[in-house]
Amino acid sequence: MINEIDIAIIGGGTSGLACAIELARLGCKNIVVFEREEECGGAPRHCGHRGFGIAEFKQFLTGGEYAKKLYGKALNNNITIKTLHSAYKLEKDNLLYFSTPSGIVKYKAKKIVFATGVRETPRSSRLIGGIRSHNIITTGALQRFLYLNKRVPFINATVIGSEDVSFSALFSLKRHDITPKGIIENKSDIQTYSLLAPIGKYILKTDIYTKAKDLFINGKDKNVTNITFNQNEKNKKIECEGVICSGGFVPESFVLRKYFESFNFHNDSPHITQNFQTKEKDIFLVGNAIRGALSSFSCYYEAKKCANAVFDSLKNDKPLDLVNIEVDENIDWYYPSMIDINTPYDVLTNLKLKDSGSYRIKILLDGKVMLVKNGSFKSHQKIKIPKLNIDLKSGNEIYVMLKRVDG
Amino acid sequence: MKPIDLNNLFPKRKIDFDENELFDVAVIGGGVVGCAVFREFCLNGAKTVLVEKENDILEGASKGNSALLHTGFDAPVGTLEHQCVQRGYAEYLKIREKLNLPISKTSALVVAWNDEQLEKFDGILEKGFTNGVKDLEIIDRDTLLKREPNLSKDAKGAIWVKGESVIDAWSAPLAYLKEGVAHGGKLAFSCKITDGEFESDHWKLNTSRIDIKAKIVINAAGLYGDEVENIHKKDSFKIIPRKGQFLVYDKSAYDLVNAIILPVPTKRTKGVVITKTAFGNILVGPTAEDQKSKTDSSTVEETLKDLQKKAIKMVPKLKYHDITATFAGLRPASDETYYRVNIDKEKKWITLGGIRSTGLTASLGIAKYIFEELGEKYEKKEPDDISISVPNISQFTKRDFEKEGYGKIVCHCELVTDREIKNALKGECGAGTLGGLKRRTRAAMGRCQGFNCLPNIAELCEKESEI
Repeated sequence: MINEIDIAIIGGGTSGLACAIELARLGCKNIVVFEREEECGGAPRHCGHRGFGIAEFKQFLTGGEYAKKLYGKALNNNITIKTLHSAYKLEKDNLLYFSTPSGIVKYKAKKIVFATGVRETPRSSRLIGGIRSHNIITTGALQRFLYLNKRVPFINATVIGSEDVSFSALFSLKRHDITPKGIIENKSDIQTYSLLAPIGKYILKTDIYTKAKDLFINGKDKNVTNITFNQNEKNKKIECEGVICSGGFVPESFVLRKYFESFNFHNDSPHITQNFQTKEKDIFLVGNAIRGALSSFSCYYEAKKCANAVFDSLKNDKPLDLVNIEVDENIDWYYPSMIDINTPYDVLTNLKLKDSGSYRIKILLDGKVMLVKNGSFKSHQKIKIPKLNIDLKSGNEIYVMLKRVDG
Repeated sequence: MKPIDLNNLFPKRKIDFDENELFDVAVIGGGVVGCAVFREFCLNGAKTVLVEKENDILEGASKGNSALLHTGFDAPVGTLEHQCVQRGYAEYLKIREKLNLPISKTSALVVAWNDEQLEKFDGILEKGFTNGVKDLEIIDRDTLLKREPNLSKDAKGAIWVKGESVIDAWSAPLAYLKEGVAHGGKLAFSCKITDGEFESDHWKLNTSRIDIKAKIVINAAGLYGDEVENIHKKDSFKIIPRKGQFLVYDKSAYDLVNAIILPVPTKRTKGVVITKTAFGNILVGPTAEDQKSKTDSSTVEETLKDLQKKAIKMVPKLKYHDITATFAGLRPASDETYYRVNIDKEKKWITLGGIRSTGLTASLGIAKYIFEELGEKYEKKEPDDISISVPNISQFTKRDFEKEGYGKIVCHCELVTDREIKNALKGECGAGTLGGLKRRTRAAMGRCQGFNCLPNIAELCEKESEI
């Protein structure tokens, strides 16, 4: 039996709920949010620090409080929420398969929005050498241990990575009396420019080691004892019992990876247009699942935009006329990666570089340079490429060329 | 807040016999060979005990191999190894349906990447025929690339080995263990052999927990086989651990190869293989590095990156896929290339040393061989129809998440239900380590490596374990 609905939203985190709430506000009925966990809320559920909901609710909430508030708002808007529904397959004609405690269920929707979020890159994917141990975990697992299960997995730990989430890990450790032994970063600079970094270094007294190479995790009988690395030709060692691999967010896009032949390998997610549409006009992608972690606030507002695009697509249901954007290999992620010339756009693409430095970014249209952007960019910075001042036509090919101009 | 020690989630497993018990057989080592031998003796009515130094089976070499069922086409001609591989292969096919063990008959392709390797084909074919493996065929480059469109165009040709298959290397020994226990077999886990001596008509083994008396001892102690063997005869062979590192690619890569891609073998190792796995991934490996340590199964970044390069050279599209897991297995290789099998009929001590590379396939064959060679008669228990099976966790048939009635999915990446995890913790043969739980369910083995599920799994282990 196939259940037919108007809008299926896969994922009940910030983006999924915000998108559903906006769609309801716009007048859509028959919206179902599918969530694989027992409760909605997504990643914020296990974020213990405050700072959520400042713009959205004019409050200073913890992640858990924020998640509950969004969930409550969705329920108040008569949005159907189905928890314990794990989407595991998508087939032609918008057919979704879910595993549920009551068996496999199938849904067909007019429009589908994937808001499946992200995961961190674990130790094994980073090819970090050393022993295998269950004490080598990601920030997500650490925060679930501390905030949801209320258990402490080790008494001290080294954090690998220096993104926002790495400092989040640091705060989580400190709050639970777990001694942070240091932050190890592979690149030459800290991967965030918010105030968190100096707070971590000077107030929480945690040494930050950048340019750390050749990491090796040592231990005995599956227990971690220390981590060694190379910094500027010097061998360093940090004694620790736990290792937290933080950041390196990767979209959870397995269902779509199986479905789409062409995939955006920079982002690790499907190609999308300025309207969040994939190459199939009925399938949308929103939130962290596009390109890795943004703040809850950014996801919330992006999801609202997506909802408006879904609503337009429901009303007008125009086919897509796509101009593809390709980019240099040193670009970490970029979106949109296609422009639908049947609808307007105001930003050509947003991109993030792999390495900090001074660059000349050239935008080529069918081989001709249309725009040049020079500057000094950090590797954690989102760079906006504005709309081209020439109308795009079917068959155009856009290429983003990158040239490093510093040493 | 309560601490949790992820490396010590389980208590030491119960021992339900005492030091006065006199067993017919004590099998030392809970790897795939030990489990198969334990099963064989139990099924035949012998009073058998499995003695293992860790708290679960498969904590040694058996946990980290390529999970392939070999036909024996390339086994050393006329050796016991060859005989056991062929017999083990046939026996697995015979018993697997009853035990609910999966198999995927992918077949294998021995691919030549240069003319020198191509020239070895006739020799490989001849050896295969001599070894009694008839369904071998040389296929040309065009046919090869049609069948394996994602293989690099550098491939020159291949030998098609139709019978090579992919299995689940962990469910099989678990099934052997369960069958043995169902026929009266006893288990002694967390019992490390410290010493032993022959006392006129039986052996007395001293372990870290309890002394064990048995008329026959079978040394299947893998990496520690040489040390255990000293109880019987000093310095009869030496174990030289040979580390094999592996990469497990994301499930998105599953369709990149169809058959098992085998290299043209050398003397030291079967070489780097690219294969589908029973869990829907692509496995690349193993490497081969000799080392002194029997415990160091660390991975080395440079080696892993090199392995990745090798894999991409053979299947270029692999560069678009993520790596889900890496691991290193330590082969219990000995100072000779052949199986170090010895049957001391006088003192009733059987040595199964240096079983590496083909242990998984050969295990059931080895078990039959030594049982027959020993020639002991036991009273088989009636009725003989105790039905034992293991849950299917492979991709090849229906899995638990597809059946209604579970509470929730705990591991989302591998779609493992709470029902499966609880069942894996139940009973005498339930998991005794977190690794053991993972091997019985696939939980936390997926692309997020526990990002979502590790804390819940750990708590389930604490609450639901029955050992």
